[in-house]
Amino acid sequence: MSRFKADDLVYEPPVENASRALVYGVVALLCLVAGIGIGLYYSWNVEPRIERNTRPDQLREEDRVNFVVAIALDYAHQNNLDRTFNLLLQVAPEVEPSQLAADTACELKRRGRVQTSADIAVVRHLIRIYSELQPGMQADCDLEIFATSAPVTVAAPSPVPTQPPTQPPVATKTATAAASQVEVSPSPVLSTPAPTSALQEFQAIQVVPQTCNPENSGVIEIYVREANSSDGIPGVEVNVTWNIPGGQGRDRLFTGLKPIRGDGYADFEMVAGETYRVSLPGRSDPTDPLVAEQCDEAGTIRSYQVVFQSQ
Amino acid sequence: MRTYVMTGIVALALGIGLGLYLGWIQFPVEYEDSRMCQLDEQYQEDYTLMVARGYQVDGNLDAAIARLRPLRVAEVEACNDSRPYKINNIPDWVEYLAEQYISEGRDPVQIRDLVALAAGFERVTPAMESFLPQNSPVETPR
Repeated sequence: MSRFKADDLVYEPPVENASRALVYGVVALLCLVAGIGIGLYYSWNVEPRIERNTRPDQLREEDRVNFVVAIALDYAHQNNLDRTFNLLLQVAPEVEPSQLAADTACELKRRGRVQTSADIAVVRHLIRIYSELQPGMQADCDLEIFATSAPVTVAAPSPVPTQPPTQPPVATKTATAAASQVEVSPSPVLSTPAPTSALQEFQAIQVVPQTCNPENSGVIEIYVREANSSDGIPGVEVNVTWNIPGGQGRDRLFTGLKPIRGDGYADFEMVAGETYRVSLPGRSDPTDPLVAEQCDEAGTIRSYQVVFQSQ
Repeated sequence: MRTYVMTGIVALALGIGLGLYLGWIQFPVEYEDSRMCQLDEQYQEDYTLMVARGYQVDGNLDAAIARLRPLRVAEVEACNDSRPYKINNIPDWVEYLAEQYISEGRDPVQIRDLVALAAGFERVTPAMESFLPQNSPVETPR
């Protein structure tokens, strides 16, 4: 008689169930993980959700610069430093806003995006922003040329000496080949502005019409220089104004953007038939009118040379 | 064996569903080098307002157009999403935005900023007339 019962020889059910449950679990887990992987791959790579909620900090570098430029314009209009600070944080939360403003100014310069007076104004706004957010801060590049000129300091009013009407034109500091071909007109100096305000820091000491030259047609060449020196002064704002129906046209230039022509040089292209006045806003009186008149049958427009000199 | 397969299929389907939820809703793709035309609509409006204010500062319409041009959808595949308004023509966009702000009764100061730029584009509509600035900037004809 056997000592074992028949039941003792049967495979134990608890062990079988545990093993089966384990296999089910493993299969389910593996398939779940595989499914998640497939789902993520599909949703991130094959058919990613079209982005509609991009924030400024997700923009590519070029468009971040555009956004900061817009912030600088906003600041120029609103003069609200807190608002500007917060807007800059939106563009680069990880960067100090003053640093972002300085870096953007340098980036604009590096990319050659400082071409027009509007561009220069933007750089000046950016300089103002980082200077006010962090006084004494310097950008990592040379922005001296765009920095605002020193304020006017005049000791006492005194009569402004006028130049004799036959004074020859002043030689430019570094004339280009094209410029050197232009002979200065033997015609007399057009005008020397009347000393209407003895308090002005600069005076237009020469306004000289040039000889008729098709290669240099209709250009006002402006030089701003120190008194008793041929050193040009860079970064000086120059205003050119002309009359248009219902108002006055105006363009802002800055000296020093064509270093080959000298630190204190800027120029302006005239339109035939218009009459222009040139001034250094807040620092000089405007010149007498400069007429963009045709000087030959080919349609060449007479050019002018205007020299401003500090008092 | 059949039950193993069924378990696998069900788990796989659940996983795919969960993966899609995570990939599309919970953790969608974070774009780092996006373009201006992909900006959230609110930021696009803010950007346009800032440029409009810049126009009031410098009166340079060419510069304003150049600054707004990156908002255009044209030729950028990633920007062809399902937005209600696709920016293709800058003066149209400024006019649209100014009218939208007027119709929604937004801040009059913002409306005036936009209307000033719309006026620069000669896109003044009757609704905008009462928001026209007294002295709009003069465009330099260069």
